[in-house]
Amino acid sequence: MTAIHDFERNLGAWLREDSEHRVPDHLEAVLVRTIATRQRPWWSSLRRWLPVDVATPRAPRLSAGAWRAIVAIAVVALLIAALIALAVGSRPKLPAPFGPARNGVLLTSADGDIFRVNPTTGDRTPLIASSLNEFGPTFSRDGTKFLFLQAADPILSSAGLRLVVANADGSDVRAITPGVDGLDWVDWSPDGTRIAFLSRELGRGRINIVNVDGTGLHPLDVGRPVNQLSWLPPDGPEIVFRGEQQIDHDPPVGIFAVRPDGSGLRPISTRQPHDRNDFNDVAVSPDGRLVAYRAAGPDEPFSVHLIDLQTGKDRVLPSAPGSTGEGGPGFSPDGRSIVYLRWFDDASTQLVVAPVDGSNVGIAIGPHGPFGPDGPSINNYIFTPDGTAVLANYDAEKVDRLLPVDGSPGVVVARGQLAFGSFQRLAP
Amino acid sequence: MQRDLVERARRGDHDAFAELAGAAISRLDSAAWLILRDPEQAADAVQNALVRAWRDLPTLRDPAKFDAWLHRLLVRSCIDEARRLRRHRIDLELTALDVPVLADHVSTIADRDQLERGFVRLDPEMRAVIVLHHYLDLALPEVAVTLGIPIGTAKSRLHRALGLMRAALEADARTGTGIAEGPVS
Repeated sequence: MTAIHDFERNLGAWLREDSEHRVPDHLEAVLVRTIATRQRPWWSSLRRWLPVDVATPRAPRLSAGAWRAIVAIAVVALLIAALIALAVGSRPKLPAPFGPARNGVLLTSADGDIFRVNPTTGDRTPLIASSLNEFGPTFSRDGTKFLFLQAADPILSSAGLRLVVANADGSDVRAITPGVDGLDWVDWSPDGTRIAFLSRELGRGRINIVNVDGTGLHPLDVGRPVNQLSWLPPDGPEIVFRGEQQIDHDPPVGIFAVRPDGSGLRPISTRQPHDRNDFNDVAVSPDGRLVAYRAAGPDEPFSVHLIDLQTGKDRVLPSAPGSTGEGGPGFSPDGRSIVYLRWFDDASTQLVVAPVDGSNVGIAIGPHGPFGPDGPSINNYIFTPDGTAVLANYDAEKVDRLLPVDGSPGVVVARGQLAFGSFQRLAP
Repeated sequence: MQRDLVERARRGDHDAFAELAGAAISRLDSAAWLILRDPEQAADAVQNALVRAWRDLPTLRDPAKFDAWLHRLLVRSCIDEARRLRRHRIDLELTALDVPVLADHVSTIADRDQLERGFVRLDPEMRAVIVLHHYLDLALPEVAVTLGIPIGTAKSRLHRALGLMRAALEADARTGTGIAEGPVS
């Protein structure tokens, strides 16, 4: 550990030394350009205006005919509401291990070890603690096992990370891969028998699949760098991923799907990308019908889009006044809501839970995570298995918050040097 | 003092912006140089970041966040410059950086030339992570927000960047020769 600290200290000193000779002489050129540049008006970041009437007209006296019309409209509205309720109630439930379930224990990692957290008291119990750096616990969808990442070497970070699987109680810990370079994206197959993960060779992401017993490790060559992979629910016939464009020779960025045996590569995204940052933060709905992503362009604010996998229709979720962008979508267990981050002018962010049908701009939950040297930042966030709250990590504050989806005040469930949390899903 | 200048600049006071830019340009230029390793590209990146800062300053809600906001604009500008540069550059073939065993002396090596060779081998995105964290002293959550990536990605990118540098130092120490320059991502 001392050696690592020496290296990083020396690195910081060298960076300062190396940059000391810089004496910029182009301030005048900058100021000439800024004089010729018109400032944006302060209100221009608002993406839309909602008209607000400040003068409320006096209500006119209604005639008998008007009353009859109102009653008729009310009856029709009640009938429509009843039909909607009937349709929603008869909607087929998602097959296990999808759909709402009971909340189990919470796992998190801190200081290189894995902890079990009591969501009620915030008490932490070490579950996996070794001399190696261990982090990123993720429960399987049935909640019986979890995986985590472990440094393959106590010092040499370039030796990579390996994938380790354990039972939910921390027993039967076993590494299922050797050290993998650039291992940073992992997803359990719906049946819990396989794990797809991302590795990187010279920075170019590649899909890999391994059985949970460590056998059958194989890469999928899709002919381009990839990122953000997910098994397609509910039964995992395909793996959905973001195809990246890292160099000019790569095909344009987009969202794709491929079968676990490498066959059947097909596009999911149905429009041309704005630029290489488009089609980001890919998430798949638990019923496998929708893919959400963050759209981006050179002069476009971030926005959350949804692609209907049956029709290919791509639609954007509505943005709220004052927002400068939205991104990072994640679906609720029932697939009817979506949580995402909303950005503001000062680069602060706040979580929002919104309906996937786009009928409104959603409900803000939890505090802002302002950007700044001492301010909190909102990072990883997931719905609880029962779908009633969102677990969010405010990294700068070093807290995990449980935030009810109705917007009521949340609670801090864990404090300390925390990282990503994963909730155990128990049978409903 | 800075807050007052930012407030004035937001209202279109160009002299106030000139003072802000004058105070920041040396720091920005150093960071851009570290990320891009090309003085002309660095100057372009700084100019573009400052022009954009002037243009968008009225939309900055909290003047106290000016420095952080400016860093974000700079890094984005650097990465844009690097991508533009890539179109005109032939990247050299890379040698494998997998080093099976790390000798104890490697992590304590702090030779300036070796650090520079290891650093130059990184691609601009990786250099940006190191510059933000080890030069501008941003905490990892701020690095993540600055780069517009999740905190986990920021951590793994920093972890990987430092690992690649260490591996380059190790390879350098083993061969006793310099390492061919070329970006590693």
